[in-house]
Amino acid sequence: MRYLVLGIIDGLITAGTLSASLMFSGGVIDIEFALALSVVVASINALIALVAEFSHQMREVREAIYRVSLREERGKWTLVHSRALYDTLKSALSSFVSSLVGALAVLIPASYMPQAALLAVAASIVVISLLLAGGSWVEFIQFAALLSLAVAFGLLVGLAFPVIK
Amino acid sequence: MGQRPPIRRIVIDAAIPTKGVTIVDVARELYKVAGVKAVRITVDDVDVDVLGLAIVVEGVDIDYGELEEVLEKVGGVVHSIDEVVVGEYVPEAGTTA
Repeated sequence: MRYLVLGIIDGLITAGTLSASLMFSGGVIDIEFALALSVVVASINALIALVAEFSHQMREVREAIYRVSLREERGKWTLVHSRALYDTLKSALSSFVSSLVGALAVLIPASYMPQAALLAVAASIVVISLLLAGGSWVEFIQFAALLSLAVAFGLLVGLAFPVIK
Repeated sequence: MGQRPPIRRIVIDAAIPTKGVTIVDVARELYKVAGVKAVRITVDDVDVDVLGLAIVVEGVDIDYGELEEVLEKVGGVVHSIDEVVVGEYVPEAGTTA
């Protein structure tokens, strides 16, 4: 769940930031560009999740094995390691899929018109905030405000430092 | 004579991590060991990260070395061997009272 939500937010912000200058300068985002950028963003996010989760999981496994046997067991592969690796791969895959969804949510509407992209971003923020808040209106407002701020900051950075013109 | 006496039953005090592996996994892996006919695992100690287990393995000519190896492969460790039965049949447990 953590990587699903993180992935969607990451996809939204990264794709929005990278294409902000192009969107607001009246450039054309065609469907091919939208797909290509989404795959690149999703792949980078998945690789980051893979490395981060792998190091976290392996440290946890090392500590758990140490607590059981009270000695350092380096280089020995156990069922616990295999399970940790499986969880890591699952997290990376979740990150890829959710980042792809997040990036496509901005770029596909943008390939029709830039205003549609902004509407899609707003709708995504509402949906993600609702999911994260779990029924609490106070938390919904907090999440929505935080996400809006993050997206706005991303767009500003994208406009200030145009990568794709 | 000269042949290795067959282990019929062995009771092992072992420990496994609480995360990433369950006693079901341990039982299934131990059951794959040569000569094992039945495995019974009881949790007798629960710590934050460690489960203490009482493992009873019964069968015909059980390979203890392989049992220990399997326990290590699932991330566990043998603390002690609490009971062992070697021979043609399983005798009744005795008392020293």
